[in-house]
Amino acid sequence: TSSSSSVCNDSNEKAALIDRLIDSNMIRFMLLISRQGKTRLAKWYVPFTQKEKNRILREIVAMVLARPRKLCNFLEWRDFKIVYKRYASLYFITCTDNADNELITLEIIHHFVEILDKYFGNVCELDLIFNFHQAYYILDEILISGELQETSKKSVLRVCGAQDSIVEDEEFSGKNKRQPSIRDYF
Amino acid sequence: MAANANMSKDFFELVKSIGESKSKQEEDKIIAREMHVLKVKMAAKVVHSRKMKEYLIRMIYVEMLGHDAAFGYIHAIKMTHSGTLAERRVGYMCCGLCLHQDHELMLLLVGGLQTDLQSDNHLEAATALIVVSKLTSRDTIPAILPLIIKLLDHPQANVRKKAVMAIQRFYRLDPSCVESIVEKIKRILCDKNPSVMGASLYLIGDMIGTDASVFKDLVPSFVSILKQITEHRLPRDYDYHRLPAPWIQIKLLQILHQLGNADKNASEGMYEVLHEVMRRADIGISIGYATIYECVRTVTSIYPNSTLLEEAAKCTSRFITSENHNLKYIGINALASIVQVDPRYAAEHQLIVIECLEDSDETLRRKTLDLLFRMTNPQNVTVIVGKLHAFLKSSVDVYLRTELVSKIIQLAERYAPDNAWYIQTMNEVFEVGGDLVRPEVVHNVLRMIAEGAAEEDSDEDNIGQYAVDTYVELLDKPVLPDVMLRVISWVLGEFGHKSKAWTPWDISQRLFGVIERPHEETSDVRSWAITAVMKLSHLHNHIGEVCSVVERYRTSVSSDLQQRTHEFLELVKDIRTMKAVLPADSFTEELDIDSNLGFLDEYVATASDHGAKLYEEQGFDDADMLLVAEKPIAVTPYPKWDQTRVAMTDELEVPTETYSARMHHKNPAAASSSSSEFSAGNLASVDGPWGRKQPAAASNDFHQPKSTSDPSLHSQNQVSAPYQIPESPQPQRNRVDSAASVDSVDDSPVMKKRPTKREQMLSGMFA
Repeated sequence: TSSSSSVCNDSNEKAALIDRLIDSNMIRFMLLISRQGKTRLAKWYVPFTQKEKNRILREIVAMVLARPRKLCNFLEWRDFKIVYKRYASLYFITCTDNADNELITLEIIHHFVEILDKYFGNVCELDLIFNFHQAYYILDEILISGELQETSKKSVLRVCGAQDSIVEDEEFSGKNKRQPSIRDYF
Repeated sequence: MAANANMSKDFFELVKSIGESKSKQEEDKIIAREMHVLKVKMAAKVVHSRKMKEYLIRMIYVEMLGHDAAFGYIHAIKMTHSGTLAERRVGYMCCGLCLHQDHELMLLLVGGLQTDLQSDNHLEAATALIVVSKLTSRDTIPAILPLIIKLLDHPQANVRKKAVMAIQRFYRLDPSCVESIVEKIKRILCDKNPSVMGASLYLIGDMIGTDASVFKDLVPSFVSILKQITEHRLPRDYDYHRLPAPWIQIKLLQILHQLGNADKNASEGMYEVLHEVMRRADIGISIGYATIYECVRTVTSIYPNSTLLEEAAKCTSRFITSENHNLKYIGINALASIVQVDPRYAAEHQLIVIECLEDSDETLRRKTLDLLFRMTNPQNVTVIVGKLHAFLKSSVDVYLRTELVSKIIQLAERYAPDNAWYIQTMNEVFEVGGDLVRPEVVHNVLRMIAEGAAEEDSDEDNIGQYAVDTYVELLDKPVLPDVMLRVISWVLGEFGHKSKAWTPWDISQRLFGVIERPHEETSDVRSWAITAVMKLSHLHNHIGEVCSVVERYRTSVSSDLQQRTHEFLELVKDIRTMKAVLPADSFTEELDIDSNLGFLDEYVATASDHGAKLYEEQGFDDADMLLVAEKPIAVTPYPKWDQTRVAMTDELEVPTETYSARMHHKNPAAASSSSSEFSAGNLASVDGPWGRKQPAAASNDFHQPKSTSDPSLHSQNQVSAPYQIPESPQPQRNRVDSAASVDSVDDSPVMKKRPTKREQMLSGMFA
């Protein structure tokens, strides 16, 4: 987990509090894994090396895939909690703090899925396989630093739509100059 | 999607082939090939930015699958300075995914970010803000913070919202960054756009976490916002499954939770709205339950209100009795919070809780254990600890076991009904989870036993006696964890005399067994055992045998053990002293330590009368300080060794022959004499381990190196080592000091000492 050296002007107590704050109450990472264990999306909100990421992936994927259907969607892993949900052939896996409200995290996942559904129109795994970069853009509009930034589906879709329009425009017209003013797509 | 039409065929091929690959090796091969292609293509002199966009996306794909594509990072960064927004967006996304805040390349982004943050195009600013939240480190905050603060007033809600989230991230890295904008943050709470208001709650939540007082006056505002939300006053956009803005509600609940904690006034303002929220969230869907759960958590942590608690308990009952496993889990959690406030509620659901303990779902079982832990009281502690113990025995997960061990120990210390049970439990814990026990715990245990033993005056139910008896029997087991052995040794040593069933000699013999068990060198168990034996030694008549056992460890590798054995063997010579030093049953007595060693004053006086010198403090005296002041640490490099230095000592001659020439001793006598003089001048005063040998027949001796372990050297080493001991080393001694500079060692090619094996080998090579 990210650790920053304590702020120099603070007392030890505050420093300890800050260390606790750094990774408190947030989603550490969000993974989308297929039924066979293939990664479809991996967004990490805490810095890990590639090796650590792989190791974590292996551990968690093994745990989640092995879990029978009827059990609850929460798992304890190390000092954290894993909240996962399966949608068709995809597992959405998040890692949160132990003290967090797990049901809420489950709903965040659902929120994300609903938005993906609206965006792609009846989303399926194939959409995400070939459009993973789009999924990343969308996720960036929903979660920032592991916290939920936007609870309104419409707003998210509006912003994503605006970005896409610009991309389309630029592709189509082949413009390469920096636009000082841009038409407002709203 | 339209954007996808821009990807080339290669991309589709790549994804397809990965999807169809049958094995990890195949996948790895494909990825390796792709990485190679990307590396070449990205490094090409001219890459059209559209192509680069795709390469970057393929690079992310490769990284996502777990491989390291660091070669592409710099291109991603270059992309962020590119012309079009679309390209910059790709560049930023790649950076966000691949870099992290302490990455060295991160600094290259700062300039670009600053420009984009000030852009007129709100989409650019928004994209930059996303990256800022991910990648800013403590050091880069000052460069970016002012721009972000300005963006808090941006006309676009999207930008304001992201700016607030960015500040939250900064706050976590460096809390001082919000000092100047606290008022501004409070006003964001009233932002007309609910998303922005919602985003500010995260930052405010964090700030309250550090210091609640700043926002205490805002409790009415939070309450009012919550009220408005529940009354559906927000735009329909924010409804989620018919529940208005549930996440914002929950965040507000969490904030109220912190503000109302132990604060009666603040809490009283919240009761009504909490009631409302709980009522309205009860619509039978998952998000509703989530909200209710959060309410329960809030209710149980603020100043208690019985109506609310009743309601909370009712909701919890519904959760626990539900069929849905998630709800059961939540229910157990909620119950755990409730019983902290009011233990009565636990009784109602005992049966269900016991059921959950045996549920097939491991997560549920673990959570129930947690609940049990919180529900413990002196009446049910034995049962609960028993259950925890059963889990400990059957589980393999290290984290779980550590948790259980610490929980059992806590409960045992807090609620132990009687001493015997306490010792039993601790024994069991040590046996099963000894390696997970923290060292402090051992001391706590020992202290409790000792205090227990000191308190009692009757011989019945004597904890000391009980402990000793139990432990002696335990020693029959062949393998015990170190933690246990330490405890056992100490107890037997201190209280062995109390036992009625075993004599001190019996106990000592058992302790010998402990000493003789195989221990790691670094383990201190033997030391503990030997000390115990020492304590018992004056209680029986077999001191001789004790001594012989202890003797064996006089030369042990562990200096701690050595010290103890030496001390013991000294003490043995005077039984009286030993009894005074190791008295029985006085663990709890205070030791008076005279740190001035006053009792030695007489000894010192007598000695100094007889002419002994008094002790002088070896501190930094003035002479030393002056030296340090005069000659500070040299920051200029020493001058290189050159001819001019010879002037210092005329007798030294700078060798002009090369190393190989020297080795090719055509004229051994001449060479050696010149070298000898030089080398003598340098090192004659050095009395190294190779010592000062007799000069006679030196050259002959050195032809054959003494060490014969490497026969190959002999054949090659036809030439002798050049070092010759001088005839008369003494007169040259004084001149050495100034000349013996460091430089000569590395610059001159002369062999200056008796050759080491390595040098012999080298010389052999040059021969």
